[in-house]
Amino acid sequence: MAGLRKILLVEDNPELRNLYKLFLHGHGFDVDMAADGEEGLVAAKKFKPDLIFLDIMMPKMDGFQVLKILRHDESYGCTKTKIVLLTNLGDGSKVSPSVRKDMDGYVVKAEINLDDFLEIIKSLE
Amino acid sequence: MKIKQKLIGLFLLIGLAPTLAVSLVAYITISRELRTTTSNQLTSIAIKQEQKINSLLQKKQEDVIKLTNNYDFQVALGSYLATHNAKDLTTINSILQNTQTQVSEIQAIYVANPTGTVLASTIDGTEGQQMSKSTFTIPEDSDMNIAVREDPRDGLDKLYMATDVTVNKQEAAILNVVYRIDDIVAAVQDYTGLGTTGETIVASKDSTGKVVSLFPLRFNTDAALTTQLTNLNLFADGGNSYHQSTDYRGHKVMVAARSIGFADWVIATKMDNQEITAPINQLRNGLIGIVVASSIIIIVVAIYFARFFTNPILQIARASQRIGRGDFTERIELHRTDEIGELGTSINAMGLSLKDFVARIESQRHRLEVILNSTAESILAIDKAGTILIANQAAGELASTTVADLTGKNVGDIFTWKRNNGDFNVDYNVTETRVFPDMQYTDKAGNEHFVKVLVAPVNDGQDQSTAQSIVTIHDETKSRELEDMKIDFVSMAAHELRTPLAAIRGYLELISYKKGTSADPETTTYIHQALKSATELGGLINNLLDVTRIERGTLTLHFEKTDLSALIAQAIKESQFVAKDKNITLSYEGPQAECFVVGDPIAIREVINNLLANAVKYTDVNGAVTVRLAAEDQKYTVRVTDTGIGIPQKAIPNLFTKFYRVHGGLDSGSTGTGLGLYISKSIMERHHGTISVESEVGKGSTFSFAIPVLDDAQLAAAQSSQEQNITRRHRGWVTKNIAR
Repeated sequence: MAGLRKILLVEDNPELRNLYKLFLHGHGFDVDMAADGEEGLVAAKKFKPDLIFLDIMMPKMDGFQVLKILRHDESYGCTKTKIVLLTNLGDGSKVSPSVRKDMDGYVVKAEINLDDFLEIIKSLE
Repeated sequence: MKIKQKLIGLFLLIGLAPTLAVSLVAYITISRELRTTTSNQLTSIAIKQEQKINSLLQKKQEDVIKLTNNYDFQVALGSYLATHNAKDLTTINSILQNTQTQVSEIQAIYVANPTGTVLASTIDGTEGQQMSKSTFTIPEDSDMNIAVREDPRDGLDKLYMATDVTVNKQEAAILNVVYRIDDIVAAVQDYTGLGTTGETIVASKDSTGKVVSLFPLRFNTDAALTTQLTNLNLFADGGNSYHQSTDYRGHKVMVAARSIGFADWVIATKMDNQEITAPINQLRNGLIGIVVASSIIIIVVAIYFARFFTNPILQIARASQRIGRGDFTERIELHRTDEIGELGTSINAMGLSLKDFVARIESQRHRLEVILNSTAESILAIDKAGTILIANQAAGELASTTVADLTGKNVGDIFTWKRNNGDFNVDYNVTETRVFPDMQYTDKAGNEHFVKVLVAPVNDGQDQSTAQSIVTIHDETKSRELEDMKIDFVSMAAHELRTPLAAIRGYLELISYKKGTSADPETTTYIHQALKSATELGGLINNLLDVTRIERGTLTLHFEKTDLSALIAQAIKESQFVAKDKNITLSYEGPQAECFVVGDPIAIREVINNLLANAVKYTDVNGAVTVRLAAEDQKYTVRVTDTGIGIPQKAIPNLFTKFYRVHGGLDSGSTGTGLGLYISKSIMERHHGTISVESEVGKGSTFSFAIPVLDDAQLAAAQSSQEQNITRRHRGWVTKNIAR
């Protein structure tokens, strides 16, 4: 795949959401944002991103539900979009096999540096 | 009852033995004396009787001799024998008649020729005319035949005295004088001095040699000349004898015999033994009476004394039994001042002491019961078969029943255990204390309890049958819940801290990127300081989370083929920055080539980082920290040596425990949560490795860990099990490449 340019950030924490946007935008990516799961679904349909960073713990609809809908409901056009889960829970060991199958990776927010995003994106191309 | 019997025996022995001995001696002596006296008496009577009869016979003999020497008789007999003149016979008859008249005892007188034909007689008629010569045989050495015969005319026994009449020196005729024997019989029947059974017997041998009594016997008046007296053995020792014998009646008798000189007779006095011994028997009966009487007295006295001893003893025994059964109010009322009374008093005192003692034990037991019931731990005492003997309230509550209900039940029926959700049998028959941790018990309400069961043996002696066990059930459910809550709280707090921290760090990074070139050096330094602190804080939070994962058992490691030397190189490189601040030399000694182990690279990195960070932290400025890697004993050993302040010896055992800090407290100046080494140790345990420390205060410390080296087969296995779809993995993020 040649370049993941359009990135959707679904994150309920506004500071982090802004931080990631500022960083990625600064590195030339086209970034859209959503503050919860429902907004995320709407944005995914409209924005058609190449890559989605999807927070798990969110109000209204959590990341696992959003992931499931995006993968199985073709109306969103995201069945093959790269989706990386954002978490603060740990090393992803709690991720069930069905989720593991649907996702393309996960990120422990507290344990990465901003630079790591570039590497993550690169590893998915 | 034994005492009574023994006392009676003893009394009899002491009381009767001397009496018996004296009686026996007296009896023997007296009876011997009596026999001697009696025999002497018998003998003297026999002599007297002999003399009397002799004199009677002598008188008769003199009469006969006087007749034979009568001159007229001699002349008439001589004339008749020569001429057979009837006138001479008349003369003879007249002389005979005169003689008979003169001597009243004479019953008849015969004169016969030597052939036995009667020439003259005082009796008319034919009877007595013929006389058998044999009847009158006169012994050669004697002048006279004296015999007692029955007179055919009147059937009475008479005394016949026959003698030769010599005329002109020729034996011309035989004179036979018949006497009445009344006088002799009277003499014989004189029983003076002979008691009621004694008598005098006069006997001779008849023509056939049989011994017969010549006169009537005392107890058989018809016995004259008929009764054989052979048994009496009168002629033994020539008639002069003294002996024991059996008389005609079969009675045992004592006999004294003497021969009578004038006739070929024996005279004997005899007396029944029974009469002789009658006084002895009386004595004997008297003695027996005395013995019997004294025995009765002795027995009565012995019984009294026995009662005197046994009654109080029995009373004491019964009282002791009642005291033994727990009736301590029992008192022995003896009213005696002797030793037995003292015994009773002592037992009364003992009863009182026992009462106190039991009361003390009871109060102690009560206290123990209160203690037992006030503890939260369930405590049971069970016997060898598992039967519950004692249970406390906590045990009753745990089993959802009462203490009384538990007692007597089998422990296996009340408590069924599980461990790791599988059935588990606790062995209650232990020889030493055993602990069964992590047990599960579900109560009647369905609540699951996590408990620790402790079984301790109670050895009171060798007897296995009385062996008991004390079972203590420590309910850890609540402490576990608390521990879980604590872990949950720490975990939640750490997670909540992470999000804002990630934001702070991110923005700081963002500022440093943007201002990287344009900012003044002072601002750059501040930003770097803030970033460093934020990173440190993130590390602390990560440590906390690691600990919660270790505690919950949810720390997941991803084992893969890992190059230790590369991990060390990377860690040193990352720590150089901090080391340089304190001008610490950070160096590596070891192979540059790959050193493979199976492990989680991130976790091992964390261990190395922890050790390095500690080494740098506790090493003063201008010190040195050296990391060494060596293959030893199928293991790779990594040693981190510093020239720091060192660790006191007493602190070393606690180093790897949770939250432990050598220099303690907040005022020590150094920072840290005390979790690093604990986490490192847990990680090493998961790798089947070891971690240890050697240290000297003031000189420095060496922390080392060792992980088993992989051989080729293990390497191949590790590689094949490696998760294929994880292509890149870093601390903090994972992605996969899946061709779609």
